Amino acid sequence: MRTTKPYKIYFTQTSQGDNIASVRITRDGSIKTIVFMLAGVAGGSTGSQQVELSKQSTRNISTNDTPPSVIGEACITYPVINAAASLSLVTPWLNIPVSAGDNLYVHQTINGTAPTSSLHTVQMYVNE
Amino acid sequence: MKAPTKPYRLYWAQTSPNVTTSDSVATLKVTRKGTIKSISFMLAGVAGNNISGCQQVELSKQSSRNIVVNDTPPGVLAEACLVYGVSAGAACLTQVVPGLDIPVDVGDTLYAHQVVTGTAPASCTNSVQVYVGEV
Repeated sequence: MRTTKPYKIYFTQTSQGDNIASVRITRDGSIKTIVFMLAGVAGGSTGSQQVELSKQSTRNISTNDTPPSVIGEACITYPVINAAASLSLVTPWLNIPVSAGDNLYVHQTINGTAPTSSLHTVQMYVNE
Repeated sequence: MKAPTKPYRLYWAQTSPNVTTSDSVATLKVTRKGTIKSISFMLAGVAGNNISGCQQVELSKQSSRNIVVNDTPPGVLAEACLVYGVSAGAACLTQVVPGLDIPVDVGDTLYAHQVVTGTAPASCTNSVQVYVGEV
């Protein structure tokens, strides 16, 4: 019987970086759905945070025509000083193959004023 | 006939000062074997007297939360987050996660857990609907 295994990446870092958090795939399968759930509290009114999910250990966030290992991306903005903001993005109906031992990474780019705090989750649903 | 989809619902409503971080704010018991096909979060509430509040909700097969944990066990099924960006203002979020095939068995318990950060809301009314395709 086909089963879906949820994987979760969680991170709270508010600065730019490669490989802020990662998970390792434990069984062969294919990613069917990706959910970005991004939230935080603004520092200034110009901040935004771009988050990338990738099989690569370095980011391609500001790159055109990326390799297929760049899987998904979401961006949250912080337009109100000191206010909470959130974004949910669900990408269903995928069929991205993964193998046991693959690492999935999240990378992040900060534009403008960084948030004072953030709490981000990326969930990957893998059909085995 | 194609196997029917049975909707289950977790619902909880809280008011200040009880909107707090907690395990198992609501539970349900699965009554027939099947697979979860979709999960829908419907979160709503009214902010406290600040603009920095946030409520994270997790759906899990585990009785304790893993909301602020990376690389969680597969018993952690889904998560959604509602922020309260306007002081004393209403806020809501609807999030659907379709295309799943997560097996559940008769007697399995599904739990909703909650983490509140920043200023807690004055009230909240939250639902998580779980759609199970029966076999």
